[in-house]
Amino acid sequence: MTSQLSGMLDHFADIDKLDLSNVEPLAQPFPLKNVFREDVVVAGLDRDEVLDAAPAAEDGRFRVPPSLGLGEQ
Amino acid sequence: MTKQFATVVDIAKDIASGKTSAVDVLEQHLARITEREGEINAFNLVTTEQARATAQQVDADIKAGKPVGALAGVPVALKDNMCTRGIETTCSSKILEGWKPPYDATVVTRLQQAGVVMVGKTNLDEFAMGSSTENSAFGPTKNPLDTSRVPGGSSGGSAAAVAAGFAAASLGSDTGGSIRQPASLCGLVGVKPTYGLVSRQGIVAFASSLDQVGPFTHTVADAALMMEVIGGHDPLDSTSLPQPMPSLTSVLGQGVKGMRIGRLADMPDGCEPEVLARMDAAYVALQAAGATIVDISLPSLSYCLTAYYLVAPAEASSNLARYDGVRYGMRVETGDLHSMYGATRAAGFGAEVKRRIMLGTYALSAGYFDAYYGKALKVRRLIANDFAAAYEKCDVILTPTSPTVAFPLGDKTSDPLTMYLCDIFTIPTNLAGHAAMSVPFGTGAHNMPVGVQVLAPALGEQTMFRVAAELERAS
Repeated sequence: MTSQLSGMLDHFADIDKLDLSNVEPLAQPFPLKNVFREDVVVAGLDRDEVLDAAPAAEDGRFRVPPSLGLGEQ
Repeated sequence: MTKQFATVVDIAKDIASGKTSAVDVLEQHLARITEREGEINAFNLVTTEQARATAQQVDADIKAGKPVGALAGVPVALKDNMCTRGIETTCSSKILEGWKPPYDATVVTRLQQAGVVMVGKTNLDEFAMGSSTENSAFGPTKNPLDTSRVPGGSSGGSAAAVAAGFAAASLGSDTGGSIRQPASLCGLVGVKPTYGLVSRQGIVAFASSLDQVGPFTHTVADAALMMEVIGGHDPLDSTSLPQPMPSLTSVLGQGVKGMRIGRLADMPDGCEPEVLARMDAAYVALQAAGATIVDISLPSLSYCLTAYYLVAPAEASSNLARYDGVRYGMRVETGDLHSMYGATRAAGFGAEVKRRIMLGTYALSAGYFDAYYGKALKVRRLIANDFAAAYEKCDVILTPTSPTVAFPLGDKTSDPLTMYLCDIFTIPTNLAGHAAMSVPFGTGAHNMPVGVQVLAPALGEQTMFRVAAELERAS
């Protein structure tokens, strides 16, 4: 995979030929700004249904392995 | 060549009028699935029981004289990156295997409201990354017209399902050609709508500034009808355009008299001669129907591939960060949280997805941002400018959809760059956010179908469909 990735990066060097100094970047086609929906209360997702799809849940929350304190063991 | 199957328009009409029933139509499609799905592998999941229940409901509603939707009883397949509540949605990835979404995508809700019968979830390149459906974690899909060949990708399962008569229509998603290229390779109509015209709420994100949803059908009229059902503003998608969905079914008969059709003066290398011959025939046909052919150029076309394969992986590397083994999908248990993230992602993602995550992360990294991602965004501006200049001179542009007809399985899997070159004609549309569609226009090498791509400016769907309908009449 390393050689494939460097092969791709070599190919991508083709755009180095272009003079892009005065070109504005385009990050998305139509920059819509400040898109808000109407401020009405709608039902959220069903919590049990969401947690049922998680690898582990406990007491209405996602359960994850410990992330702190392992270094001291 | 695939017109032997009933169209969406005819099925909807015949069910609504009582000439046939939704159950009978469904059973015909299920019988074909039983017969050929083993060799084609179009589906990750066939939802037989739900489909039968929906079809019976449609028939009961019609019998009771209740009003039914525009697509009542039409069997439709969905790409397996579209969320279906309580029904497995995998993106053909091990990392999401078994995941049942807690909500429906907006396009799924709209199809349901129109009365469709969902027959199943279709195979794709993992997370829609690929051009042949060979990157699926659940095995490749075969082209129903020649099972030694690929159906294209990434929406190859959706294309194959329609081409094999498993569904009358299907939905795919198109980030760099993933609807149009498989449509071309399977002899179907495939539409990539203007960015923002069809809601993406509930579609698993790949590259958010490029992704769009659209239909696969046998005919242009079917595609127009499907578009009218799924398109239009959705308050749940903040990139959804506020414009109302334009009528497409009403413009199909308007012809192309007086229209200006753009022809690429500098066609890139690598097209099969038979594909180019079909292009010539398409120009002749449109000219005969009263259009004028205008030579145009897109000087930045050859740089689009680089821009796309930097922008799309960059966005993907960010979008796919959510698969961390916490909220959904697979988890590889280790002793601590951090190593669990890594172990889950290492085991859950396939090679192409990993390749693109690494490429995207690299292109966005502090030392390389300007050299890669920053430059790619500027090339994106150049192609948008090229299109703007071209559309001063013409109303639509015609190109091949794919430089080649469907290629044999395994032909391009060893070198990712060769595979990426399949997308040369489809990528520019996504970068610009414009509309484009592929229309079958005869056959090329190995008697396999050739698709002509009609490109239109943003929200140019009506013009695009008029040209597509004319090409269909002439093919």
